Amino acid sequence: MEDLHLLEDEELVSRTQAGDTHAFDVLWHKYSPRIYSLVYNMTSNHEDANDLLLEVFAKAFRAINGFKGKSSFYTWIHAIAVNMTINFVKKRGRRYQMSLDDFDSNIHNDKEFIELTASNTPIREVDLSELQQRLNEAMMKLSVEHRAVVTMFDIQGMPHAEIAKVLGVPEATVRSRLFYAHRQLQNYLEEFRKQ
Amino acid sequence: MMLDEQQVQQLLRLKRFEQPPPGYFDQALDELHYRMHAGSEKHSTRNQYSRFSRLQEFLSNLNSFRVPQAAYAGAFAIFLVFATLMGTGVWSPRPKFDVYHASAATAQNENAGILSGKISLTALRSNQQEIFPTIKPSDSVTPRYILGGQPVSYNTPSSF
Repeated sequence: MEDLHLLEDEELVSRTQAGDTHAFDVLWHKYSPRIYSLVYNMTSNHEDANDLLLEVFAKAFRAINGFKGKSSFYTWIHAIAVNMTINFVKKRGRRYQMSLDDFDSNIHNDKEFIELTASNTPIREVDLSELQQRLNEAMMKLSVEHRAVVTMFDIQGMPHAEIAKVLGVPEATVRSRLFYAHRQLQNYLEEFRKQ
Repeated sequence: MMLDEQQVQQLLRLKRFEQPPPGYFDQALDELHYRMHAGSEKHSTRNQYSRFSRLQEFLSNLNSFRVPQAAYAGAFAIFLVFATLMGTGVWSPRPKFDVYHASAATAQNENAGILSGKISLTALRSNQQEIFPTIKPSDSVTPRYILGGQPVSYNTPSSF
């Protein structure tokens, strides 16, 4: 039996367009963790992220016949997710509660985490839950457009050009948004400095 | 001195480790299948729902409708104008009963009003005012006479 996981995105998309829902399941397995991460880091709420993730994929499935392949499926579904999340966050306004996922236990083995918490760094020792709380609070102080850029660049590691395609803005706009967001975050995260 | 940009980026990268519980994506896929399947049905249900919600909204607006204060004042002013006009006699919804003309007319109809020894009240008319019996005349019941909306007597007027 053919293993759909070995197929390229273009083939999976055309099979989905032909009515093969298993091909769409493969696209889900491939991209749902990234889309979840994007939506979760823009909302800081697991339940909202869950609902938006499902809505994004349901919308993509309904609209897949209109997908002409001018961009990659990856860019296309990221664009749907960013737009839906921005609309959602703007509608939600300031009425929200944080509902955070737990840190993966692998964080303790992460090179950057070890570096950050080492005694010779300028970052003071904090417990993980405090760190998580403060990071999310700082993110939520940014506008949703800046948060989207920070999420895609700093957390997901997407290049500037890809972010520009997703947002439909020039690359220079992405860079300036990142610069501004980082400056703001430097102020908000000041408390993590060792005194 | 603030944290530098690189340190901020390092902190932000730790957010990669915030993960949903294990097995989450498989469970969510089942929910996605349900939504994809229900998509077309949901569309029509949503239309029905939106009609229903519009009706509900209309009813709730109706329920919360408040008569403006000015309407009460307006209604009271109209009442006062009518009351004044009617009270001063400038205008009356009914023509006034003219006793003189009514008596004259009654006298003219005197013969017509008595038929075979019985009084036919329907034949008694003045020029301006009709005389309405509330009870049809019969041999056993004494008729009640009303002139100009006022009960006059339970007895047959002697002038007939």
